[in-house]
Amino acid sequence: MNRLQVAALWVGVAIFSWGSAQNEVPPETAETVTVRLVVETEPGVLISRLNPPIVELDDPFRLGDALTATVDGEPYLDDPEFYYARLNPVIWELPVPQGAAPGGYPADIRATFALCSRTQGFCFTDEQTAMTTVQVGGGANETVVVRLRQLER
Amino acid sequence: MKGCTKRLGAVLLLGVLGWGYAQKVARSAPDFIPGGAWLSSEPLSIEDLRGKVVLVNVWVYSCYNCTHSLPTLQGWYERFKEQGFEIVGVHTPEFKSDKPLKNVQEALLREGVTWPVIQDNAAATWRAYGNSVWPTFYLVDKRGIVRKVQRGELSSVFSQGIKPLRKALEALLAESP
Repeated sequence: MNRLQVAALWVGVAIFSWGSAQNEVPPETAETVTVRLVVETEPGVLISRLNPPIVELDDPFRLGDALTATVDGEPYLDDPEFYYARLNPVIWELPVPQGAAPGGYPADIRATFALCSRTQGFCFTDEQTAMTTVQVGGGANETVVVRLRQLER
Repeated sequence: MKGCTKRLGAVLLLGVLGWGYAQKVARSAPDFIPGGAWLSSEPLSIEDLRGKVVLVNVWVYSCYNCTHSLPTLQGWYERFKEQGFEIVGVHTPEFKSDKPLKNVQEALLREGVTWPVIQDNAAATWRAYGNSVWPTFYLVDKRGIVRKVQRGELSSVFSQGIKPLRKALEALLAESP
């Protein structure tokens, strides 16, 4: 094998190695779990923008910690400064800590809403809790639906 | 005899149910529990107001439905005050910004509220009345008994509550103490 053949062999090995590297499965990315909160209101019930909803999720991976969320929504056209007609879904993307065992982790939601009834002419507050579980290890993401109450006359 | 006993039992049951229903409205007005200052008045109690017809208005200045009701109350106050009518505003905050005395004082000036108002910053009076919404109106007779409860705005937009409440108010003013 002359020098030229050796050089060609090295180039071939190098190209093969590079190509193999491109086909390798990239290192596993950190898993995330998602909690999606959907707030539903009855017709005629508006959500105060002056006192926006306070929404907290118990961190499933840090006992005792709560994650607050910024809430936004679609303004109520007749009083856009003061009310939301409806809220956008609240989404928490939570990175799973390395070494977390597969399984379900409780992640409860607490929410306080200041509401006004346009049909009945009064305002009230509504506190809600919802129990959720996030699944680590290929489990489905969690969507929680909270229905706000409508006070009967 | 057996049928008679049954009928008597049914009448008694209806009586008890009717009495129970009446108690839901006709009950002694709970006293005002201070949770801040009294505005436009010395501290008042339900006892102090005996002999007057009192409209206890649970409200907060940041609630549109509450402030929209004030012109109706002002009209009644002017018209019936000399006949022994009093309004007591129970100002129960909805937001943190509703609590400072200065904010409430400014709101009373802005809205032209001249009747006594008590700050209910701990919502103790709200709870004593078993209240759940802003605004709510408790009509109290000359003996200190709650005779009518009306929830929701009293205005040209929400006018359905005005007539029955005014009718009840006038009827109570006509009662002897």
